[in-house]
Amino acid sequence: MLNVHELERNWLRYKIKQSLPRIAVGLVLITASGILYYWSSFSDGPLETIQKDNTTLIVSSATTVARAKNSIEESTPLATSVPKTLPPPKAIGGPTASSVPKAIEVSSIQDDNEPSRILRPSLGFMDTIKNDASRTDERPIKRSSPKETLSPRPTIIQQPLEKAIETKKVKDTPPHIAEVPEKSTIVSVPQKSAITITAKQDEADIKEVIRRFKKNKNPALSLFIARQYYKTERYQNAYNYALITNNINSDIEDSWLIFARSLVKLDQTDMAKKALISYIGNSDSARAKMLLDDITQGKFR
Amino acid sequence: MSNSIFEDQKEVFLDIVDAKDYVQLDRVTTIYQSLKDSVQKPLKMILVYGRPGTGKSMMLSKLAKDLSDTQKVLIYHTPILDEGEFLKTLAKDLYNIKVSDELNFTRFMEVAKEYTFDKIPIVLLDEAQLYSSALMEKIRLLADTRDIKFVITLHKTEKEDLIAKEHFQTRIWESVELLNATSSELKIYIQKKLMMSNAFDIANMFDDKSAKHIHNLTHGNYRDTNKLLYVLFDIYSWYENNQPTKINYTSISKKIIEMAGLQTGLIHA
Repeated sequence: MLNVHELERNWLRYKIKQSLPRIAVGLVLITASGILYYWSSFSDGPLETIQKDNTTLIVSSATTVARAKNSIEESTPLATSVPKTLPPPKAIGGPTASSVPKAIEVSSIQDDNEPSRILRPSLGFMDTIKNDASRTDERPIKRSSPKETLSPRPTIIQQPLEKAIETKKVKDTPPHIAEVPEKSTIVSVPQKSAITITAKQDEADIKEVIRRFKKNKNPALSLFIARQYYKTERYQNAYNYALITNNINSDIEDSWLIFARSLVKLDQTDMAKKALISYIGNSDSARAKMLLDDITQGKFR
Repeated sequence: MSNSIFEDQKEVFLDIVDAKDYVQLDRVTTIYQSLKDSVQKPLKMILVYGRPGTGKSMMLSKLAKDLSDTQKVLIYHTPILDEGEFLKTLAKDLYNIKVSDELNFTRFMEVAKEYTFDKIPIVLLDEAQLYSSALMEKIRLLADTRDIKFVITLHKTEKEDLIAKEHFQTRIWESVELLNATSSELKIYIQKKLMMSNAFDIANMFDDKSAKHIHNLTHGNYRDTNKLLYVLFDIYSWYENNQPTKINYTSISKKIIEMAGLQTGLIHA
């Protein structure tokens, strides 16, 4: 016994299971792209690294200078003991970068408690700081940039997936079996070979087709019914179903031909001619022209 | 009669071997024609082989139906595994002789010599891989007399390939291989089956995409396709009776194909 609700649940589980690898791959891709982006932004800015270091260096140097300043102020005996080598305390808090190394030297003197040592300022270090300071002014430090650029990535990856699903749903293929030929054989249009299928066409089958037609109003079915009625010489019914077919789709040549033929059989020749003339005006159908000629010349009656 | 337009269509896909349900496809038609031509040649044995569900039994039934008008044709869908029973059945069906006692091979050969036909009778043996080696050897000897022509079908699996090699390689004079349907062949197969029962509207619902989905599940195996479509129409019928708004009448839903796949075991959830 078919349990569709259970089957639907199974199907849902199956779809989730089926899409898990895709989700995993998507996540991995997002993570990988994020890491790559962070890595690239990190690696292609060596200057930024230096700048970053410089900032901390400057900050730490500044604090060291401040500490040094305080310690120098507090320990006056020490300051007096090295008057020749040390610059005056006023120079330490100055705005120039050249004062920084001096301050560092002072703090180191205090830590070592070696008043007799002769202090020599490192000029090379001072130059580096000078250079660094100038670079820092030229380029601003970007810290938040990696986070900002990472956020839109997931949507870029997800978009094609959504699109693919949408197109699957929307895409509507044209019908492949466009024509139901005459004389109790049905030829499938996509087949190039002349293979024929003999369909069942007894009364019960026509009734079954009528039932289906009433459900879905498919013109292929009404055309089939019209054709069967015409074949069995029930022209009134053939006329009715051909008319219905024309109302649903006015471009079906066979339907117009059955319509006109049925009218002739019902002694409505003038109406049949009118219908054919009207159809020829719209379609320029050769078969319709031939039938019109036959009706006009009395060949078809 | 059911309310659903799909209910009756599922019967179309009942897995029954009946020659009148034979669906002609380009490639299959070519193969069938070559098989028919081979039967007319003075060959002793003809082998039809292919993987399960490639339409071997159906082709054999079609051949039996087509040839029965012109010559004596016997078809055995179920193998008769006992040698004595096989010969007795053959004697009864072929020469209309009822043997109550044991009928051995020598006796059968003698009987066979007594009967002549305008056209050599053809015996079609389905599922020949189930016959024993000894019995296959006897069948080969019968074919060698040229009093009976045999057309046999074999499943093509690794094991059965071996049997084919052992028993038939030097003896089969003509062999025909049947292959699984391609996606486009499957689409035509389904559409034609539906059109044969006047279901043009439903046949129109099968497009390339749905045929491809079905092919992905069945790998072009006609038996599996029939099974899948039977369940598919069963599900459609349920929806039409219970939740008709869920049905799209323009194309076959992938979801329902997959649900049918789950139900038939073609998809392992």
